[in-house]
Amino acid sequence: VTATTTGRSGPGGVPVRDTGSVSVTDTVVDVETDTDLTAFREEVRAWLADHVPADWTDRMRGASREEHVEFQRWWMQELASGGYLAAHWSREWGGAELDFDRQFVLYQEMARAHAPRLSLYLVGLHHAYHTLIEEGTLAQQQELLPGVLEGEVWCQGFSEPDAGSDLAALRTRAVLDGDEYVVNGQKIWSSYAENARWCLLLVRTDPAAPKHRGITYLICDLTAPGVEVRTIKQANGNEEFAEVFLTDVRIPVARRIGDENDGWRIAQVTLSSERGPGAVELVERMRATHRDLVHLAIDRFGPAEDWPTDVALDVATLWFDVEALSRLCLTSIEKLRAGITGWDSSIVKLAFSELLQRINLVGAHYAGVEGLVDAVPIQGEGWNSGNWMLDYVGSYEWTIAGGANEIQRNLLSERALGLPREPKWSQG
Amino acid sequence: MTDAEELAEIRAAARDLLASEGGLNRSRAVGDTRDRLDQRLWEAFASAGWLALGVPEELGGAGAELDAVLVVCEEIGRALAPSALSMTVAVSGPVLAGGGAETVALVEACASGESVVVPAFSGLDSVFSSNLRVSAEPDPAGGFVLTGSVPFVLDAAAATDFLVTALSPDGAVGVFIVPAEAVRREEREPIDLTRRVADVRLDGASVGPERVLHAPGPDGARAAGDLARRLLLAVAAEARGGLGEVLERTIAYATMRQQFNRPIASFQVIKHRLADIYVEEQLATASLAIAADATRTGDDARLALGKARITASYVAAVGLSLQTHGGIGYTWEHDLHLFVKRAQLDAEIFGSSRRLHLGAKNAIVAEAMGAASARLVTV
Repeated sequence: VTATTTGRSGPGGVPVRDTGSVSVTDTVVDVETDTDLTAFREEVRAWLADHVPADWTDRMRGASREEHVEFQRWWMQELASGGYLAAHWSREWGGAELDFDRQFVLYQEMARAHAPRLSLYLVGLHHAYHTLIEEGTLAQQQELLPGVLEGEVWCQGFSEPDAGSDLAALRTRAVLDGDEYVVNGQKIWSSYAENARWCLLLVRTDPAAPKHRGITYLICDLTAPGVEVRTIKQANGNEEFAEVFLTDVRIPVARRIGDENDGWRIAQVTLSSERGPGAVELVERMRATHRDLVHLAIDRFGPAEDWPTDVALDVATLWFDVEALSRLCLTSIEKLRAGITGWDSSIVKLAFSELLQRINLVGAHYAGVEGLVDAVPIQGEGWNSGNWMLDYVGSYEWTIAGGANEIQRNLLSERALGLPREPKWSQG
Repeated sequence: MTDAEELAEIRAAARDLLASEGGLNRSRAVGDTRDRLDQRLWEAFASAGWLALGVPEELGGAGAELDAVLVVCEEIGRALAPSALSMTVAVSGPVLAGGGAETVALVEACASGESVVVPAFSGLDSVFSSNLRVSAEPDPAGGFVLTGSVPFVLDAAAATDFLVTALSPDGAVGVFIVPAEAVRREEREPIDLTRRVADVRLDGASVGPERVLHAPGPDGARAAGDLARRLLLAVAAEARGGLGEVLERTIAYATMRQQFNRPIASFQVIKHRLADIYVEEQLATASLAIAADATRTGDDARLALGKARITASYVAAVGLSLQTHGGIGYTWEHDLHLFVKRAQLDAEIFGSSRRLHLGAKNAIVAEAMGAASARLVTV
């Protein structure tokens, strides 16, 4: 889980609801008139064919956490040797600095080759990088960014037991003592915290201020005294999440991002890093899942001409839903490139997560009782294990995390459609 | 591709024109009086140059691309304007233009509004089941004699001429232009008050050589396919427009309507419902873009399921809108039922969702089997 928040809106930009259908120019998809880009695609494809181990899902099925970490570390080094690690990072900080189109092609090809996702390093490569570049000082960037590419793991300390959808209600307290903050509290749903060196931490520094205005953004060294991490086993059998307990943990003021009490705004900057051409990877993987559903249906019900009508209707409906989602995603990426701010990330999140759930539930239904025995999760592949039931359970990671779908609907209705907020609940 | 700014201009101009010509009151009036055609609206469209929008410039049209044509169809659907307009703009005009020099006069007559050419394509058929219901017997003069019956023809009442696809004795497909006087029309009474439907019968209608758009053969089959695809696409575009209008009207009503001393739009159950319709509207936009591309490339599975998905969202949205409006939305006086009924006809005509999905199945399976399974599946 990367975040549980009240929104992914990010700062700035006046949203304009699309009232019309603007056809997409698929410059980044199929018609590659840019021969350099086609050459890049071929290069990536060839590299992936040589470097993605054919048996990696088998090796990771039922693997221990240690084996998974070792595998992720190896895959990161492979990507670095190929020049594909940190595609969106600037060269100044050691990234590949690929342009928008090349990032898109890279993500698409990674998904098509069924390459492992760099899940262990997701927060470091995306959230930490984006936050430090946008809001950090040069000294902070110099201290922290090189470690990301050397394999330091980052996690996010946003959610708390009593601050989930209502993230701004967080209570982890930080009190200034000389040039250090003393932090006490508890964070939860922090992915890979057990392996992490650093944590993007939201703390309350002004309990008297309105809840959004008393939050400060710190970088916590998880090797500091007073930090205790306990992993949480998830419903799909994976162990990716953790709780982080903080008892009198001292964090230097030098590791504060931005001003004191400006943490809520900076948290939105962190979350906005989830937007980008990376979304195409999720959709491409979903296409693969649908192809698997077709194979499963043939396996269970025979050739397509023999399928019961309900099976044919399911398969065809889900197929076009993936097509439509894919197009929606491309449009949103095009808009992002053109600098148009909107509510696409909420729309894509809702459509993607609920479709993921439906596909996997249909798969679990077709697989029947045989699909409900002897299933072993793949570490790091929470909704991509290949077992329909485990992946159906894993799909709730998408409808709940990153701002629960109910929160996304609030956001869309209030900010995109301009509907009034609900009246505040009176505390008496 | 037309650039976004130009599309926005076309959209605004079409919306203004349809609104200034009376909007929904006009659609209602047409429904109530069962006029043959809304003549004033038709003339307004002709003088604005919309009727020949998709016709190449050398044939007297505006030479607009398909995406621009679809924008106009969307606005027609949004305003519940007569579908004969969409048929002319998106279907008959471009198909006629494919006939070459001999059809120039007819294309010009369509552009000026003098002629209204309607495809005699049965609403019971689809791209997957284009039953050729009419036979074409060659006559000694080089023309053809057409015989057959085409049920459920949309906007037949508005036609001065029909585009008829027919099968020759040797099994080839031709496309013919048949004057309305040469057919019998039996009007049906659609529940959708904004549309007209008739059964069209041809009892040995003679078509001279100058009215053979495509003689039976591969060109004719191609043109017939193009016709069937464009019909589906035009309905999909109208439905996309209608869906957007229903969302806007529901937002406006829920924001204005007060109960329990607050706008009903401040209740989460209403907000989430509207957010869901909004997501469906955005997916409908994506679906229409897919369907338009598929029409160009002849990809019937994507076209058909694009139409099916958009119209299904439209049907769902009008139902939710009616529930949100409460009692007022259930009255004849309120406009909402016009959308409810139009959405359902959109969903059923030229292939219901069920039939289109079953028709697309083989193409989907072939595509999936062509690509090796990327994941390791354990059943």
